Amino acid sequence: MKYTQLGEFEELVMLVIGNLGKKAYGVSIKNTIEEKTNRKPSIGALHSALHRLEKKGFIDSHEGGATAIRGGRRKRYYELSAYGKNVLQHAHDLRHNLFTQIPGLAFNRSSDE
Amino acid sequence: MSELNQKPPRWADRLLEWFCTDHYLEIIQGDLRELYQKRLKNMSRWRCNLLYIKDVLDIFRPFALKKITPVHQNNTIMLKNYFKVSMRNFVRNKSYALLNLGGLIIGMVSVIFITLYVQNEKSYDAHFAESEKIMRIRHDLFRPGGELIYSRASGLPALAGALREKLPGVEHATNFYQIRSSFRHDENAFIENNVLLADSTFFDVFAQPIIEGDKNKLGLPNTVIISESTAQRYFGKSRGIIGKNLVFTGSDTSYEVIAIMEDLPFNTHFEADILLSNYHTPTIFGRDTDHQTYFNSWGTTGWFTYIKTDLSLTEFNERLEIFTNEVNKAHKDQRSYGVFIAQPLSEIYLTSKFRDELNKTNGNASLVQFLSLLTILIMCVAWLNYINLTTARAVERAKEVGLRKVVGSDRRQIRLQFLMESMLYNIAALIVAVFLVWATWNMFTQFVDKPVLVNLFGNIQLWGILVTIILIGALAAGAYPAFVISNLKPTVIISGKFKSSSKGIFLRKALITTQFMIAIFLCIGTIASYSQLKFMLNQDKGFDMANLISIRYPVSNDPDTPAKFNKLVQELRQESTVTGVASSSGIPGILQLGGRFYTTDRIEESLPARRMFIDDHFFDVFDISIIEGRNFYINNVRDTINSVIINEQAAKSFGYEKPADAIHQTLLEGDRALQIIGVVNNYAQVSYQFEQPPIVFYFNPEGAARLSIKFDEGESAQILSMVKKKFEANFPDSPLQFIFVDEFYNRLFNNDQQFSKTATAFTFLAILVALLGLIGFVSYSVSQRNKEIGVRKVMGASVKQILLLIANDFFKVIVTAGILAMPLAYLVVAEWQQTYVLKQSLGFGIYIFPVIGIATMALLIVIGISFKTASRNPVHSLRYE
Repeated sequence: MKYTQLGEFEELVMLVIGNLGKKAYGVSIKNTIEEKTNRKPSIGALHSALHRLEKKGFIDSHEGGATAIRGGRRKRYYELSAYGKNVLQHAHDLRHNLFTQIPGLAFNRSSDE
Repeated sequence: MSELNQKPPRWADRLLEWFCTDHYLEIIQGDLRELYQKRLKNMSRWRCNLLYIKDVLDIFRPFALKKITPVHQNNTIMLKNYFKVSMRNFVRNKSYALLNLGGLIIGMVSVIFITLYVQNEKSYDAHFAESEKIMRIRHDLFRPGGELIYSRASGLPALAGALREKLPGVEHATNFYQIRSSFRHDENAFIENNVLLADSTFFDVFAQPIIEGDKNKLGLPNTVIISESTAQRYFGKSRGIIGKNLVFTGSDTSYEVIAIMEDLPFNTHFEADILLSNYHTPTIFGRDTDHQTYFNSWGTTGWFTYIKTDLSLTEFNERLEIFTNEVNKAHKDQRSYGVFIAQPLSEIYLTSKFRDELNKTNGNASLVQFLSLLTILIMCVAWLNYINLTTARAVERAKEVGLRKVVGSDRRQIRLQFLMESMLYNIAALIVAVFLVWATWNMFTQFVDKPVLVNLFGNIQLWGILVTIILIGALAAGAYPAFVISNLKPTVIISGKFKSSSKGIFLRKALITTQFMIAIFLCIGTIASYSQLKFMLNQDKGFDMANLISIRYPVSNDPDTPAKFNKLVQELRQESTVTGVASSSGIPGILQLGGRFYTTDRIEESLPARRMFIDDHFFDVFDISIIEGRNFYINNVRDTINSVIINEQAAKSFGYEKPADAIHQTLLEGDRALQIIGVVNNYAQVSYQFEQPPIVFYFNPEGAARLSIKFDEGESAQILSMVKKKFEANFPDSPLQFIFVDEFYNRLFNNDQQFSKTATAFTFLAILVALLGLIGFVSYSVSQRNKEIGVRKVMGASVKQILLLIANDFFKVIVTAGILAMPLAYLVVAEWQQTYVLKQSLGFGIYIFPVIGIATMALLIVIGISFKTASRNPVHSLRYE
């Protein structure tokens, strides 16, 4: 299977979605990213990425949960699709492989000695 | 929580709603709201708003935008369908369609005719090569104190030469003087009215093409250039006559034809059949100088001066001022100084209106402007018509629209359909209009009374205007109905609950009111202009011009002429059908030359007045009343020496309080002492549009230029042939030149008459269009109220009551239109009347009458149409309830 390329930010978003489980939606994803990485993506950038991911089929969405704070508007919850999980795993493996082959980095100190 | 009530800026939300696609709108807005509330806990409201706006703007990315509907693949096929449906609708509702079409056709026909006419008027003098460089230089004469003595369209003999030499930037200059004389070649003799004394510089400025010969010799002694048609008249051909001779009967001199030029087209502000070398000017005018001296003098007027220059008008005027000052310095005259004014050639025909203009019908600019405005008004009325009728018909098309929408058409397509339909209407109207114009072409030329550029098809400007009209008509006028119809909601229509909205009805009433406002306004204007004209024509002119024929003194070298002339006069007096014969230097309507006079007690200040030389029958023949003193007596020797009669205006300007005071007073003219023996009323020597000039009448029974013959009622044809016979018997050399005084005088009002005629014609058209609109509107309204009328009848209303009900509605419309139109018309009419010296006090009648007239017509239409419905058995209308 040919896995499509995953952008860095997209990967980040997918990881956060994976972490948030059932509670992943626009604002929560944004907050988590801000907490964990000190990056502050705008809502527009975030939704743009979510749109791309959904189009590629990496994530699924369903609507739910209107609250008063949102003026009665519903949220869209996102979750990783099976395909998405595969892609994420593949990307992780790829990075790990290449990373471990780099001489002189923390993991491979032993090869120096 | 109070915080929940704080909302982000509404406009930012609206912006978001505008561009964001539905799929994301709700969730994104929700997210933004949530963020907003959370931020409010830590930041000021203001900052939160700012962030909100930033976020909204940030959302403006491709993924979030509303999709523009993709181009439908079946466009061309749909157009065919629209066309088919339009045709079917047309056929099904022939009467409405024709009404609509009729209005548009009338509008377009007016546009075409008016445009052609205006183009015609504006085309004057443009045919000369480099016409934009040509200017006429005219002059005004002032007294040292700054008081204006006169304004003239012409210049002075030395002006052309001086301009050429002293004003830098003047490429060429020429001048000419118009004379009338008779010419002869072998047996062909004619009196020519369009003879210009000129030289070859004429062609430097007016590059009129030469057919044969050499124009450069004009100006040498005994040279003449004639036009093609003139050549035809004298020589029977227009080629191969170079070198032949033409005899100028005035001085019995022979001139050699050195060239033939093309006829000047009708759209020129002057006419020139013969260009006579101006070398002989002093001789012709009876002056005892030579050519050189004459053309260096600043002593006479009547020399029309033209120049060709590359300078712009402002630049030229600057230099002209300097030039004027130089000339005035060099010719210091204590009694007057002159001012020269430049007139671009293109403006002369339309705007120049001085007393000595070469073309008496100059100055039509206001008519041209009026017509342009009129055409826009008529077209507007036609368009309003279209909008009205089409929106009213929206209900009929509602089912069709509803169904289309249900099947999947979107609003854009529906709009396109109706725009196409209106485009079809407009194009159809144009085709019929062009055909009508072509068919009634002759009637039009007759109406306008001059040749019109027949460039109906090659006329780029005209077609440009027509295409613009179609575009505006189809798109702008068609857009409103298209929008209205496309906005109909299919659910409402199909459920059968659809009815015309009240807003729609109001708009339609407003449109009809506007139409009638325009029609009433035009009606008032036309009546005003017509009555002003009639007023002027019927003014007591102080003289009687009916049954009066005036002939000119023969042009002949026969030394016996005066004697023969007197004999003719006596003969004419013997005729039974002739009631009176008078000889004079001029008649009412022809401007007389002026002189200056001094009254004995005002020696320093000379007063201008016109001079007329008359006999003792003059006042009688023209029925001018002598209000003080007496007429000339043929047997009174003193009368022939120094008696004069003056008119009321002269009496006033010479300083006599009452006309009676003038009697026996002495007037000084030059070194002649004249005694006033009588005063006549201020008869209209010049057109009634101007103030009458002061006139001094001298008794000169023999030196006449004109003979005026008064005859019995109804004898005009016989008189003419009799006079002609006698005249030609006595003066075979000189063909008879005659006019009927009443026709001649009335021609002075030509401009106003044309104005009135045209205004009437087009007002009629505007009213017609408005009435067409009314017919459509009424019949439609009535059919809408079918059920209402049915119910009323069941409840016991009589036919009359129903009619009154309907009529009342429209009555209000027309009254409103009238009330709105009247003040507007009043302002315009008052403004326009300022241009006339003599105003008729127009009573309120002219405002009320059109309203009543149009209201009556409209009412008749309304009643006529609703009668059928009103008298119908209610069973038929209510059957389907």
